[in-house]
Amino acid sequence: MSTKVAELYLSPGCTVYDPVKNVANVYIPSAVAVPSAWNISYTPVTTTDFLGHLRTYTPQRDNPGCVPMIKANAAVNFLPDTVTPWGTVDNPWPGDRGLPITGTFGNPPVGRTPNFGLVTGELLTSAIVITLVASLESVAIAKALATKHRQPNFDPSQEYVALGVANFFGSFTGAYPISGSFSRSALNDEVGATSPVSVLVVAFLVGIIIKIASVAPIFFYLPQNALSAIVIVALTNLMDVDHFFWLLKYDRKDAGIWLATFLAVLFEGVEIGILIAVIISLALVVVETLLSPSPELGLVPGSTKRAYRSLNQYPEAQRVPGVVIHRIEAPIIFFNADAVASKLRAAVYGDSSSTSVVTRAVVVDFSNVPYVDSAFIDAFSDVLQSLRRADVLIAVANPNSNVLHKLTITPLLKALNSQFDVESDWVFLTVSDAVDAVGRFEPPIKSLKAPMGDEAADALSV
Amino acid sequence: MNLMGPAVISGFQSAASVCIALGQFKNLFGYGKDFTSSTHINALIQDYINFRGNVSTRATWSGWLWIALLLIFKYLGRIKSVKIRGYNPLVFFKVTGPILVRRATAWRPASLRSHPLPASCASLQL
Repeated sequence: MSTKVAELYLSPGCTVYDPVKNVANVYIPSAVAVPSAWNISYTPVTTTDFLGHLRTYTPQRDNPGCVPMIKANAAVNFLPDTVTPWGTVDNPWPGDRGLPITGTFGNPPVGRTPNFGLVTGELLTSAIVITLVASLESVAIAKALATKHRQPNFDPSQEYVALGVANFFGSFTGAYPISGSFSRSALNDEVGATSPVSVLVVAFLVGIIIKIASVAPIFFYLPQNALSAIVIVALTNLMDVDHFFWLLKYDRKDAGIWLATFLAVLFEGVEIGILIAVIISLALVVVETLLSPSPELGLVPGSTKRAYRSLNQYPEAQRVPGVVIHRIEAPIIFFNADAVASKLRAAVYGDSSSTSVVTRAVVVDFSNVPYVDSAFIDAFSDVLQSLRRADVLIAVANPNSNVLHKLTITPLLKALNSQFDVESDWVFLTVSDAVDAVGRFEPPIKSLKAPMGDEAADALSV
Repeated sequence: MNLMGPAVISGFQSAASVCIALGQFKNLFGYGKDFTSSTHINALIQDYINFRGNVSTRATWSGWLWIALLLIFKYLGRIKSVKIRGYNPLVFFKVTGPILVRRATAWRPASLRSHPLPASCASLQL
């Protein structure tokens, strides 16, 4: 705290501010020769200096020319000058400074050659960070405004082109790195801009105004807080709390992401905040894949085309005796391959909760599996082995081309099609085809297996 | 950039507008340029606590006045019942609101019109 207060109240030449006594030592050059004007407290004072370091000093000895200015005694002036017997100084107390005004503008920029000497130095890292932050911020505000005005055909690559061109030409005037400014975009939107022409008009007008203002100080008495008020009012348009309540009503997960983004950007700044938000939303996608259900299917009675649907969703659906059908509803990749494999194994080894019939076959419905990765190869061959050991048949229904390709280029398809040492095709178009084929299959005599109940055999011989 | 979903965009836009608005408070309350410019709310609040006793009264009330003016202009432009030939003539206030506020505030008091502009603004640019 004291650090900033010290920065605030000190004039150049005085290195200390005494927050306890609320006295700022203001340096007045003409008072150096007048020791009676100095802050003559002989007691050492401990306080912080500019850098925030604690230091003890004796005001008289260490600060010749530093005249104490107590806040209560400071004159309240519109022009921030304080008249002392030793000269006129800036009033160090901001509360007494009146209204900060804009003052004069600098001169318009002139062309200059960019300094390439700094490119390889420490500027390079900063440049990369600035590029990332600038493009992130520009695209974020562009996307926000596109969403607000329902322009679904917004193309972020156009933003990059604009930023690149603007920064390229800006470098020839020694300009600040250009990016899509949040507050200026909000202001532009607030006054009703609808097309890029508004930016051209703004650029043209700003150019003229800067040229005029550098000659005639037309904005000299413009208070800075009027400019702030304009920005603040424009930004109220971008406060999108309504969207949060809308999300809370219709999608709790997205409302959580909204809140996380809001807090992260608020407390960690723009770039880290957006990074956190993107990581959280991607992590949620991963978690959803991880927790994706692979429901057990059953035959829904009464359907004209035999439909196998989730037992949880359709309580009237019935298990096919002796056959366990699973539909996998996510890509089978490294973080859920083991879970899927153990689920398939559990269908055989686990306690068969409802039926006393011994499981004879497993049918895996791949309709909802968009792709698989190498973890699937290991997991699926494990499943094949353990099912083979248990003398359980496995059939695959409706794999898409990605999954089928993976099966074909690996030994999996061969292993699948030569179960029980009988060459056959165990990849089917639909679940009902697979269930029929599994029911028709007679394992060779040499394969020892548990005897089947009569009703199971009846049900299987459709 | 498609990694940023609508929820992320909306949350970011709300938080960023809060931060930028808070960052403008330094000018609104007349802290001048000594106030740190940060986009982190904790730094902004810390600064506000540090400096709260030293805001400029004049800047504070005038700042709120400008905000009120702008909101009134905005409200005027949105009134649906006022119509001349199918258009709301008060939209003029909404669109030119910022310009009007700028002009109003850049007006020099009569007592100062004869006051020559200082040659150097170094002492005035706080």
